[in-house]
Amino acid sequence: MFSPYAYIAFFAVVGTAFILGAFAMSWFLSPSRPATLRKHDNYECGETPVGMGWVQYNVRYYLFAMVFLIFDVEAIFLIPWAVAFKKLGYLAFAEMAAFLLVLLIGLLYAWRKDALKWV
Amino acid sequence: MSNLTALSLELITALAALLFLIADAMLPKEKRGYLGYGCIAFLGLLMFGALTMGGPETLSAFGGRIVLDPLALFFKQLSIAIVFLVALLSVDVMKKLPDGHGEFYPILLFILTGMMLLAGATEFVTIFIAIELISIPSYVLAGYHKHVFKSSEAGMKYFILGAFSSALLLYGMSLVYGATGSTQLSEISTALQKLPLESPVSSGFGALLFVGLVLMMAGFGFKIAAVPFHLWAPDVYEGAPSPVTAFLSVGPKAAGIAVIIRVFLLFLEPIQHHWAHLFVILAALSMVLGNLLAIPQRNLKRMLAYSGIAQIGYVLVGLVAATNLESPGGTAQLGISSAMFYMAAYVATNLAAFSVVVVFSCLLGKEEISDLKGLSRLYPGISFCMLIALLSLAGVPPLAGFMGKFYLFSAAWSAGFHWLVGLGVLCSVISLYYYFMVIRTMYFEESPIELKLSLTWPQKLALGVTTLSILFIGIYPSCISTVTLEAARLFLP
Repeated sequence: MFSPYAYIAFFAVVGTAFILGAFAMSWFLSPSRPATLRKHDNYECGETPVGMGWVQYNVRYYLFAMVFLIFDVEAIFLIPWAVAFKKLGYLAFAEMAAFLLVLLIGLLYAWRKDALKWV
Repeated sequence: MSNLTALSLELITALAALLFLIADAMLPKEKRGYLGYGCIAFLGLLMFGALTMGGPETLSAFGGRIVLDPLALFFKQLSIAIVFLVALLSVDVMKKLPDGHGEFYPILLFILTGMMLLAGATEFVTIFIAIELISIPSYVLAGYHKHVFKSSEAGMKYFILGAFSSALLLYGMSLVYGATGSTQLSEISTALQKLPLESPVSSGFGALLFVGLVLMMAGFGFKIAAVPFHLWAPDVYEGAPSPVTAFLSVGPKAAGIAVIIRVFLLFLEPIQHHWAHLFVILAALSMVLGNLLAIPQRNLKRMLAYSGIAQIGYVLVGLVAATNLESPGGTAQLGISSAMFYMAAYVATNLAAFSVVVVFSCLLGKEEISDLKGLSRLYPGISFCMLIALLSLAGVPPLAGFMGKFYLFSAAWSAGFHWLVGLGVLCSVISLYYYFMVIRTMYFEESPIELKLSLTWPQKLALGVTTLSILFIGIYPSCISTVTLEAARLFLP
């Protein structure tokens, strides 16, 4: 009766309504307390923050994040391959070895260019 | 095994890129300067291999996702030639950088892998991966002088606009996939022949397909810098290091034209009445705006950026001539062949002009047109190369650019686009003005300073090869045109 796109529209409407409804409920039910200075902190409980959140982060964090991507991508591909290892055979093994070799070269490059050092 | 044969050039290049990456990481700093010469030697060998690969047979690999036919082989050879010449121009520029010049060559080889893959890709996902393999390293190269503000700006601009255009392209591909049910071009082509598509917008599928085509055209249009997708070009060309600008002005354009020919003119041909008009508009706008905006430029690289936009307009005229908008049937082979010929002539010509720019900016750090004053007296050889290149860009006989324009316009004329040919000729006349302004500065003005230029052998080789190619193609055009006509046999009905 409906075209497949009608379901997408239906879910879009229901999904939006659900989220708006949840916000409306919490706004409606929660007790009203006037905002204090504490309430605007980054972490309402726990550590007291030092300084502003808008500081320039050390670029090395990004470098480490990128090197981490090597392992991340590796894991994503290795797990399904390992699960289906018996069915896939030796060609898949060779392909995975080639893939790992490429990633290894990336890691080697990062290591030689001192990307792994925290200076 | 035939799978690997069809991909052999790409695989060899990718492996070489990895080797150069390791070599750069492992070699001591003072020996990394040799990497450039290694890269030049490798590209020379690869060119030799690619030239001997020729043959009329068509290889289909990976379930029809990649083909190796004369059309693909032509653009692969062209890509290798481009990267070879750019490597020649880069060696001395990269040597002068204080750090990290070794990464340049692996990046260049990865781009080459992408360009060659794109020339033979016949499936949307493969095409997209190939395009990203060209684009992402290109963003890095545009910002390669990372301590120079303008270069970083160029890299950033190119990255943001390029990522946006890739998104448009991918979205367009997804819509075409939605309308036809396949990402393989051959299956899309058969699906299109079955669909009733007389009125594009009234039927749901037609509208989906039409929007998809327009978005894909925008994505490809950005890569080849055709008006109205050209806005990034002047700023990026000006800011990027000169050898990189030399690459950007020909590499992505050649790859983009290759993929447009394959996707639109070969496989989307059944519905060409939906997209052919848009290419006419792109061609006309690029020729007119490119040439008019080149006139007021004072920076040599900006001027060549706008001239490159105009040149891609001429190439698009050849693609338009391959459609049967005005005359039914018969001109497809001629149009495609002339566009391919012009692309080869443009590569030789533009790289000759950029060789001079690179030599100049590498040795003196100057890139304004007025800095060329009196060049002819001090350096008659370099000025002669620039003279030949500019005359060929303007389309003066008997140079490569003239033969290219002659083929293009005669193909467009016999296809029935008389007004477009008129516009093209008019634009060529306009272009004479700004090309001759540079020639006048070189030959008829006095130099205020004594210049000290000493060329290295890679620069001399690049200048010599490109200038001789311009002359050779102009005098003996059938050396290229037989190849392009053979490659365009695919388009015979």
